[in-house]
Amino acid sequence: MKKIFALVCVAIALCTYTSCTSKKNNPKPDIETPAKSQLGTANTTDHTITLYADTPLLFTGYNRLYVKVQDATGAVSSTANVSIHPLMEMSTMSHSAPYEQVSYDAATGLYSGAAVFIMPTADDDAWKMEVTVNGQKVAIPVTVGTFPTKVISISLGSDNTTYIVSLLRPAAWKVGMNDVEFTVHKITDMMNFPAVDNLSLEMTPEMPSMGHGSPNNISPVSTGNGHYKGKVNYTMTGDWRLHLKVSDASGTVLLQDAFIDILF
Amino acid sequence: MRIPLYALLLCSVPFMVHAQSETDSVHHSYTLSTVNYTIAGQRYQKNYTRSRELQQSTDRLLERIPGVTMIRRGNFAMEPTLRGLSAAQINMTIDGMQLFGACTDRMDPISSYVEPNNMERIQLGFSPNGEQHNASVGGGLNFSLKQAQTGAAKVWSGLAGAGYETNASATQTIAALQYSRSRFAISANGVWRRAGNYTAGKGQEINFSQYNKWNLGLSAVYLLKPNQQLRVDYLQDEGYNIGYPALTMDVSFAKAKIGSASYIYTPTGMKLKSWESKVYYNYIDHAMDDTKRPAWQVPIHMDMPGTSQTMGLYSRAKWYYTNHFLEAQFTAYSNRLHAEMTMYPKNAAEMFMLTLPDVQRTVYGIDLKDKIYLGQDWTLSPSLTVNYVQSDIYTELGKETLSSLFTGSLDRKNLIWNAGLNAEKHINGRWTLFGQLSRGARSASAQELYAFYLFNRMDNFDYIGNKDLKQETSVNASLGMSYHQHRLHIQPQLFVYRFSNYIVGQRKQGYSTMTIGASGVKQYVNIPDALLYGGELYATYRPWDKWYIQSTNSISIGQDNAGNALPLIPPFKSINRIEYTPSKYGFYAESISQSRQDRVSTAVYGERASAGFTIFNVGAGRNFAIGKNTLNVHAAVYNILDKQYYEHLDILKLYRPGRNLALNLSLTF
Repeated sequence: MKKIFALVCVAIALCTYTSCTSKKNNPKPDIETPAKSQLGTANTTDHTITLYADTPLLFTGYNRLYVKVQDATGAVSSTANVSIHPLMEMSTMSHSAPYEQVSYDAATGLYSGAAVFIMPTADDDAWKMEVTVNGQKVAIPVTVGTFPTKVISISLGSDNTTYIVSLLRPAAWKVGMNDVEFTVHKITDMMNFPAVDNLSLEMTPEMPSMGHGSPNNISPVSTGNGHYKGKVNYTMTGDWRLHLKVSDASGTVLLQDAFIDILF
Repeated sequence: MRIPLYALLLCSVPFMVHAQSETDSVHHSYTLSTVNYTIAGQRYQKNYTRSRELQQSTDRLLERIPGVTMIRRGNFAMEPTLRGLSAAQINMTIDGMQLFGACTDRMDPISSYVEPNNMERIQLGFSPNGEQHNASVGGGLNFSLKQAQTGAAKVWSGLAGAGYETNASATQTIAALQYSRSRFAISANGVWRRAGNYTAGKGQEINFSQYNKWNLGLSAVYLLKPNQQLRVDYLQDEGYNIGYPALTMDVSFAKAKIGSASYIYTPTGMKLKSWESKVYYNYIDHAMDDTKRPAWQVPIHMDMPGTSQTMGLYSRAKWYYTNHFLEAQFTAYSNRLHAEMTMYPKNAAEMFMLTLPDVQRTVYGIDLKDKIYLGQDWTLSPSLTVNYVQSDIYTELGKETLSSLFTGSLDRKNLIWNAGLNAEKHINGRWTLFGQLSRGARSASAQELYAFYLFNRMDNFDYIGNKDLKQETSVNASLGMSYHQHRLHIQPQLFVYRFSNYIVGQRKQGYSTMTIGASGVKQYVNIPDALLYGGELYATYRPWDKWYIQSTNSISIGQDNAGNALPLIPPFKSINRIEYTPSKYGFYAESISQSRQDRVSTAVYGERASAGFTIFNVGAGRNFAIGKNTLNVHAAVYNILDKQYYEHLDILKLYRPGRNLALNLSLTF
């Protein structure tokens, strides 16, 4: 009898427990697929060149780019001399954008680099990616859309130099502490956008619709090649604005508020 | 299992040789009409035998008990404090089952999910090792559920009642029914209450103070053998559209489903007196709501739902052995708390966060208690409780949320022990001296460890948790005496608690508030020590037959290590009552007084001083016999002078109800 009682108790407990736990799943943001998207392909006399990005569409701001170089047999080349150069051709002029030259990544078999597109593709203004393999240049046209939130800030600094601050978009933001990374470039002329290191970035997150911030953020610090890494704390989902106060090594404030907007 | 445990107990306590009968627990042979309370073994004579008491809310019964003061946030679901200790410092259970409110703003203390109509008695302990099981620093409350009785005098018995109160147009409807055979019994009881906005003294209407609720209790008992019982209990309590005028949000619903199954073995002629095992599960679903508030009170519309589920079991046995009365219990339970907030700003994306980030707490405990009768005069009760408490976060989202505040592991493991000694000395037939000394401890609560910007209306601060909190401990002593003669009973008692690692909220600089309009952010911290002391005086006097005078008085004084007064400490309170009960009739008049409380630390704890007050209530009732049934008619006027008043523990110092005429009818069959 005691055995039966114990069984009944366990059964009741199990029934009530499962019926109430299979309830809700938390509204967590979907994680974007990390698979790479092909943007276009072109041939030199020796190689087939394919350009990839993390998403099917490129956006204004920082985009990782990948180049696959295959020889006539289809074998992936790891020893070719590969370089990229973004170029926008407008009706009267052309200009480039900040970019990071590609280098071979053995793990993926791709040459990987990046470009910071400073404006979207428009009617007569088209972006293309020039890829040079062993001295032979091809051009692959690409389309750049506007990202839904402001992930790039282009503004004139107190030293009369225009600075480009761009967010490296992660695959997905999560609630709580996140790694955050920016690039800073400056415009010297229409074809030259050198990376700027050793600036001091003071980051202050804010939720504009509520006016509050979050604690324990770590302002990004220079890690070389124009990159700055820190930690940002999102206490909840929603609209966030990352205020960035940019100063040079001597402490002179260059940019009062180069803000970046986030939505997740 | 039983024998080694028993042997252990015998080794751990002094051994004497006097047999004495045990009168520990009360078993009412009749049904459906009694709620009484016990304080740490001192049983109070006040039996709520009249069915109109069953129409009262649990809150109104609790606030009459000496040493109990209620924190009030509206006209519903007040939160009990014991001598000024509250929340995680006290341990509240329903029939020994652990339950935890689902609301992050303490809108649903578990006493709000149980009705007098469900209860057999309220057990109250002020010391960590009093009536209560499980570790605590300040004792606790147990709401013992009424069981269906087998072999009752009537196969069918029951009760029906209805009441109306002019203030808030409140109605109460109660009913209970029992079917009893020799081996099987089933009983059901229900309550339905509703009220509109109440009116405070001098005609001031308190908006958003309405409530609606129903409660259903079911109990079934089957006797496997005359001394073996199988029992199933189920309690469901649902409140809707409940206003909390002292808070920024109301409640759209508060639902509790509480179920248990028990096996009880009560052998006769053995040293083992009883052995009870119970498995239980409860689920509480709670949703805050701001949709009824005017736009100026709601800068951003938000939803704040929360759930709490607890699964547990206990097995407890009681033995007689010569002059020892031994009790041992094993208990285990696991509780999961989830609370979230979604905000809907105009012209921007909605915002979502966890406010209590999916906390799971599992507790294993052992309680051992002995009551030793030394001769005719002395009774000693040593006791020991050991709890092992595991706390962690059970979802990835919860862990990510807390990465905002903490680095490193979020898991917590605490080993907690309580120990105590009660002593009672009968000096002569009239005088009894009693005292106790105990050590209590508690682990920090889920909220204190992991709160994520929980707003506290009392000091207007957002609170965040602190996963590195140490356990709070207390050394607690009390001394009292009882003088009892034919017409007079006086029972004064003094108490002192000295706390170590007392947990309070402390302002945290550099943190921005989450709640619009909040003054800042506080984090729970341990302060080195705190002191709480005070006393109670309970007295009854029968000057003549049919006349009865009762006086209940209590005071608590608390201060932290820096000498600041602790918050939410009740000042001196006195309830004095005179009753005249000629046959069939009953009349009473009472006064309730609270002194001014200016022992507050506004700068540190955000609490303001309170004015004192006295209010008067009167009532009259009569029983009519209708065949074998009894009809009771009762009328009362509360706050007859329509005084504007509030108690010190009332959040936001909102005035309590003004003059209120209550009429109650009930039929017992």
